[in-house]
Amino acid sequence: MKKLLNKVVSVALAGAMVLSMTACGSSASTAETAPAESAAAGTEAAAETTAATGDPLKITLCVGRTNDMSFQQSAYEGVMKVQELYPDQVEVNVVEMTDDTTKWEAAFYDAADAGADIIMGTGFQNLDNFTNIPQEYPDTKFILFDQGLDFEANELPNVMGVLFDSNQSGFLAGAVAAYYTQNENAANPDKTLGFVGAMEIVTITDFLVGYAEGARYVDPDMQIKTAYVGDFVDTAKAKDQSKAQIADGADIIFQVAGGAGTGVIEAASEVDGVMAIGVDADQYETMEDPALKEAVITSSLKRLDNAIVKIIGDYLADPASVGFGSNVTYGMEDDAVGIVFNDKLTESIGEENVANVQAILEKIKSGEITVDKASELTSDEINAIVAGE
Amino acid sequence: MEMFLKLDFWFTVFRCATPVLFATMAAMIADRSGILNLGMEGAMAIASLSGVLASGFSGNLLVGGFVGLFCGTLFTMILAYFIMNMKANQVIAGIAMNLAASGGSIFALYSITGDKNTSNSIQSKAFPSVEIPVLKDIPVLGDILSGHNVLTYLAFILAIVLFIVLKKTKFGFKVRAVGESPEAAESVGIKVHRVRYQTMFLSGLLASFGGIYMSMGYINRWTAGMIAGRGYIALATNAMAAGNSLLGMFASLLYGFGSSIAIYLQNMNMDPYMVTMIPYLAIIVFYVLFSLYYRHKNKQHESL
Amino acid sequence: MKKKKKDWYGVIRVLAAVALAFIIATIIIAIVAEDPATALHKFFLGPFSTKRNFFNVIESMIPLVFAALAINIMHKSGLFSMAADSAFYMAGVTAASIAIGCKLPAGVHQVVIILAGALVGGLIGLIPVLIKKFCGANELVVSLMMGYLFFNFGYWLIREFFIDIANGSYSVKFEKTASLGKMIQGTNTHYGVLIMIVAVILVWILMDKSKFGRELKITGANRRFAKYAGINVGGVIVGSQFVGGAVAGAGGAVEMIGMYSKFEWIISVSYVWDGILINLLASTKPLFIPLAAFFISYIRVGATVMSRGGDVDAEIVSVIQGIIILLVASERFLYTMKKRQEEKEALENQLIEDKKAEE
Repeated sequence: MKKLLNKVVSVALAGAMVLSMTACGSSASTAETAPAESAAAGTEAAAETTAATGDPLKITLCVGRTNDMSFQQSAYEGVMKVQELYPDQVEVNVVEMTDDTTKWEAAFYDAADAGADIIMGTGFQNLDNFTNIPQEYPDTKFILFDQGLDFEANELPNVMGVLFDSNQSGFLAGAVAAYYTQNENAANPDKTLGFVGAMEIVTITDFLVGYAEGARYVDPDMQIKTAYVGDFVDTAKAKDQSKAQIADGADIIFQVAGGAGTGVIEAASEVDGVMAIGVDADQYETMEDPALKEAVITSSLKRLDNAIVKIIGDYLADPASVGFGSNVTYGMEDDAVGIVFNDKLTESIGEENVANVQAILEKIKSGEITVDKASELTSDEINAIVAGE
Repeated sequence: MEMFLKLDFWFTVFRCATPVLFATMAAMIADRSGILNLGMEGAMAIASLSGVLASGFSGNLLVGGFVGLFCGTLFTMILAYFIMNMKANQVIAGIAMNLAASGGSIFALYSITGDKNTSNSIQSKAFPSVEIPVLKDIPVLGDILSGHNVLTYLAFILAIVLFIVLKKTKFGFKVRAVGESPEAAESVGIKVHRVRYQTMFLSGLLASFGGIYMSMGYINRWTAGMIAGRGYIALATNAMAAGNSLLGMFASLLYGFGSSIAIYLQNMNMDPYMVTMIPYLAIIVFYVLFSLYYRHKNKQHESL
Repeated sequence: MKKKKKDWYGVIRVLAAVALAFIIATIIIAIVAEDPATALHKFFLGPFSTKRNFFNVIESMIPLVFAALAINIMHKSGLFSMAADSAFYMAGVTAASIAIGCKLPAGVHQVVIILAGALVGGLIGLIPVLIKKFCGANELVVSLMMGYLFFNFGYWLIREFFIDIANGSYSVKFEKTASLGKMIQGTNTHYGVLIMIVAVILVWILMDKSKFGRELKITGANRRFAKYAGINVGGVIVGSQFVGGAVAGAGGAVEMIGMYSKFEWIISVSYVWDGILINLLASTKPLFIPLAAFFISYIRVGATVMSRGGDVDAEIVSVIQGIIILLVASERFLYTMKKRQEEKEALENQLIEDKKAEE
């Protein structure tokens, strides 16, 4: 996979290099002669490429890094799928901007200047970038995942915010957890569940709210222990926190902690009868270590990749069908959220409970069950929901 | 307060104390010979990464452990060379080496495996936990003291060994002589340079043990920044211990205690940032108290 | 004449260290990159490839300059305090708090923020030196621990009082009146550049032209001698820690309201290591600091441009920096050159003296 990326990237870089070659001779502040480089000329160039039929659609995804074991990775996989599905119609470019967010804005400008037709980014860190930059590049389309934009205060017809019903994924995870913890496979009969998040931010607490409500939907007596790692990378800390939750009687822990979440799965794998619930992707599949694999009972999904494939497919069929100028929410019907049903889950909670979870899923789809959204709650209200008050 | 009644709480104290204890001993042995080894943070990072990579590629735990120790020690020897032969300021040289190690380890991981920040694609090996026969059957005590990682036991055994070596052996005498007055040591025929290279070698080795414990014991993978200042914390615990490795053990356990409290309080829905301050605060407060005590004891008044 | 030659030696040493570090970096890049030519081209020329990248170098050097100035003052006393990091972060927290919480007219708002940041930074700078004075604890150890402490404390304060529930980890937006404002359109370069220049000049005057600077230098070089010379050693050292902390604090405040419109430092921000390197590269001369900072900022941005989508990680920069510091800090690096030069000088002097004697 990496080699493939390298190839794609190096082709793109070679192009960029030829352009910047011409620039390096002249002083930096003067506009370059190459057409697609300078900011002023960039918009025209972008307009031309979109207008000229036959040219592939240039898609640039800018993420901090492509292997965060979380939604950035999912976005990366999405654009790679798009490239595979439409090899002649799109030209995908992936830019890794590093974890230093002060360098991100320049990367988006570079992408826009290089003549990308659609620029994608992820996360709340990009709110300002996706509010300011698109206004300078009206002919370039911008898609921001996992963060809504304020379309009332800003004129942003070329931007789309893509949100996910991750509270629904969380609800299903909560139901699974509640069934598991009372099961004979579980380490203890306690009705205690664990949750380890990366940070107390809406994209994560959205899962938590659903988790708590889902668990109590099955059994109102469920108690939930929560802990936050403080970042997306500290595996050791996540493991410590999980161990403490396990010592407190939790025998199933839901991790929404990006790369640090591996620590949660590791902690679960070390104690008999303790399981972890993965997040974003099917972590039973993505974990390479067999011991870790077996500790993943299911995963609560947020599939940016499916959303990207759908958006680009729609866009290629009819650009007007994609909801630019608004926030769009992707949910169960788009296969963007949900939960993994596999043999591991059946083995762990039994066929009957799997059927129950499936019934809950149908009820959410039909609207019979509504799940609260963290974005509409204050942090006190979220704490109250988690505490079961 | 009920968390203090949980056996796992006390188990965690030892788990968290282990890497700091290794680093404390590393700081101590260098310090005793008159060198401020600031490079432990870097040595731990290098050892933890190279251990994971080597064990992953070879599929062999001992190869991984050996390579980890070798690389971390080599790193420290480079630092020693710059301090002693190139006459670099030891603080600045230590900083430079740490800087190179913190970025260099991330760079190396990415260049070798394509992973960024976490060694997810490497199936590395971990040192096992062991049950201590007899001890494990004692109620309470067995739950707290048995079942730890082999390296945890090694750390505590080495602390006792180091205490004896520094106090009772000829080598220990030489080290202390060099540390107290290099000129005087030189005059009685002790080769100052050689002794200091020896202590830096041991210092690097001990720090590397701390490093491989982090990535091959504490958790089973390497993550950027996973040393998280433990090499610097050891400077404080070493200062508290004032050259006595048994006191160093106590100081490390103090850090472990603070860390364990932090971990448990978070599960009680305390603010994570407030709670993370606890181990650092504990170290500062106790370090200051110990400094006051030593100052009082020595009656050495330095007006800055 | 003699003095000038010695300076040349210093410059050559720094240049040689930089060159050696670059050679090593080039070799490493050539080994790991699939397309080394492109990678190297991006690394060395990337910062000059677009206007935005170039000004990214300028805006990134601002905090580096402040950090190096702070280190310059704080370390000249002979105390290795790393409190500049804590000062920088807490000043950022202070700046954000005032930028959100106070309604003041533009102009006044920025001045209040920067002064408050400087005050907080100065007070934090005092902590390690006072602990050392009254308890005897080592300032390096205490200040390193303080870094972890103040990051958690500062961010806790922001979360407690100014958090934006919509995203849960950044603060709410600053008042518009608090912003330093963009200086160059199409980039993020803000008027903090001018404040930075003022800071460099002020520190230069303080360190090279004032009595305080002279006393501080003597104290740092030889404390016992300074005492004999009647210098209030304790006062000078404590003063240097306050002023250094204040400079770091001012830098933190400028960075916060210059680069951001809300508090975004959710992971700890560290500039001391860079500050030490830059101060060393500048041979601890305040006027050279912007030059050294520009250089470091340039290789940083170059590495970022190179790593964007490429297969070389930007962290290569840390390795380059480490090598440079190590070599520049080594007395013996190019020692033979110095020795030869000194021998030559001695010989020349000898000849001159001989000639004089003959006459």
